Amino acid sequence: MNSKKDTVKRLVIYLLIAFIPFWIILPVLNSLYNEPIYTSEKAVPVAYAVGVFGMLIPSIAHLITRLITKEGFKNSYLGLNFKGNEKYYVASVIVKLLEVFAFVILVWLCFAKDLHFSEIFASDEAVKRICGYILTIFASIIVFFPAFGEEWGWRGYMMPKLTELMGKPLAIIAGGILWGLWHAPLTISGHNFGTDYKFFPWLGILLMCVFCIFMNAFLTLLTEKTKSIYPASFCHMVNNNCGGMIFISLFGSEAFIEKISSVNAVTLMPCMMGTSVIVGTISFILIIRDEKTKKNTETASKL
Amino acid sequence: MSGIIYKNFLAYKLDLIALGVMYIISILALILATASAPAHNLEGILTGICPLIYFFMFFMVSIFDHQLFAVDEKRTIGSFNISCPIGAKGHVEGKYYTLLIINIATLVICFLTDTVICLIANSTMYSAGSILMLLFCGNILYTAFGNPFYLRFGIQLGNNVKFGSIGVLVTVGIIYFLFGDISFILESENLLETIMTLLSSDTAMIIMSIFPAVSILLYYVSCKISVPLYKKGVEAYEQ
Repeated sequence: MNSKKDTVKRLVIYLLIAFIPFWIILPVLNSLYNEPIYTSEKAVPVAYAVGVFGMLIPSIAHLITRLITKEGFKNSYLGLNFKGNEKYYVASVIVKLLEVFAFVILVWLCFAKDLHFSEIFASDEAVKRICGYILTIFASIIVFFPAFGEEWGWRGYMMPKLTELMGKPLAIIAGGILWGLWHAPLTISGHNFGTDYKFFPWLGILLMCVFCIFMNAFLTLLTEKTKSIYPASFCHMVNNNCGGMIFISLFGSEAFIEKISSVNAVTLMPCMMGTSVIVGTISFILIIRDEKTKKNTETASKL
Repeated sequence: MSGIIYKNFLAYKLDLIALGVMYIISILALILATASAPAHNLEGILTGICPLIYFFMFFMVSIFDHQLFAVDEKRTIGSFNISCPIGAKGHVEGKYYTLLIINIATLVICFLTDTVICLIANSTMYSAGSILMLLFCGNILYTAFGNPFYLRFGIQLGNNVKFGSIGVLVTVGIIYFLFGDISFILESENLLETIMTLLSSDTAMIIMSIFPAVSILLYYVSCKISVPLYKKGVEAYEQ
């Protein structure tokens, strides 16, 4: 009982430290620039810096919570555990890239069907574009620490604590919602969806929470299988740097880009979510199956 | 493994402090230069001085890394390391992990510095993210080249080979500049633009895109071949 109380206390401290900075900094910056910083042209460098340093907040919260609650650094997921888990390291990048390709196909089917499939790709400078994308993928893996900043907090600290309190299936949903809500000040500042959509910002926040639940399932699966935070960090960074819209802006033909630019980011979100929902659901099923197998093994060993 | 890495950091403590001091001085100099520069000089600072300072910071790691091997130069320590439960493999892998962590830490410091510089210069146009990745890969490739020599022949000969290789490269460069075809430089009006055009050619792009994978792979291969080399080195030292 006492340990459960401790877990709740630690979780609350962690969440407060992780949430408060964005809720203070972003409204101040928005009012300083008189507009949401992610839609302001003047505020591009500030928005970039907020993005980079903001991603480190969950890790700092993790570190501070462990220090002030004297929890120690057991189960901190900092080991590589590469041997035997190579497939999860590969999957962390490949699955995200497959999601990107699926997103492009879905966007074409939904919004640019009047173009032939071959017409959606730019025909010139193919080598440069492919090399540029490969370089971006490597850059995401090597410069992975902004994503590590988030992952070490959410998957490395919050998820184990939530799992301890409510079991894995509920923890994934609750964790996804909390993670989505952490992004809310960013969404209000125009990040991801801009500000030009119906029910701003509530619809954006809701969509982000739903997306985060499914993404959380896959990232938790990677973290739990490898007992390491790095595959989730690679996956998160590839998701941020090599996502569908970046792929389209790099490889898309002028006509395709023109068509997509006229579509609202919120309207495009279901296409992005379509693939994430499939990956997230499969991950969710795998996690539950693992949990059941673990329970059965424990019961059998007790008997 | 964490124990070995901890031991390495402890043995490397003074050099890490020296590295830290140099990093702080470099970062402060860069921030002050950017903050005090007039607007028309900012492009030069962001495209010229910043990458140069980042290169200097990574190069410092290469200059200091032999100190990590210096602690093993004592007569009996090699045999002791091999006789430990983790053996030569754990000992060598520990060195490679330690150097990788130091390089990643340098990358983090440079990346965060670059973010602050972009903020001060009020521009994200010249963000050095890709340059930093290439510098990181170049540095681990250089480390991968030097480490087997340190482990097999000791730091004196290792240093001769590692830094001698720079001498060879510089000499080849000078010979090329003296006798090779440098018309593309002589005929250009803007040198920086010419270099950027060269770097954005198809061949350069292909080389750059496979460079990270090659450097990481060679770092791994270097670690694997260093284990038997280290054993041989210890045996030779005993005889």
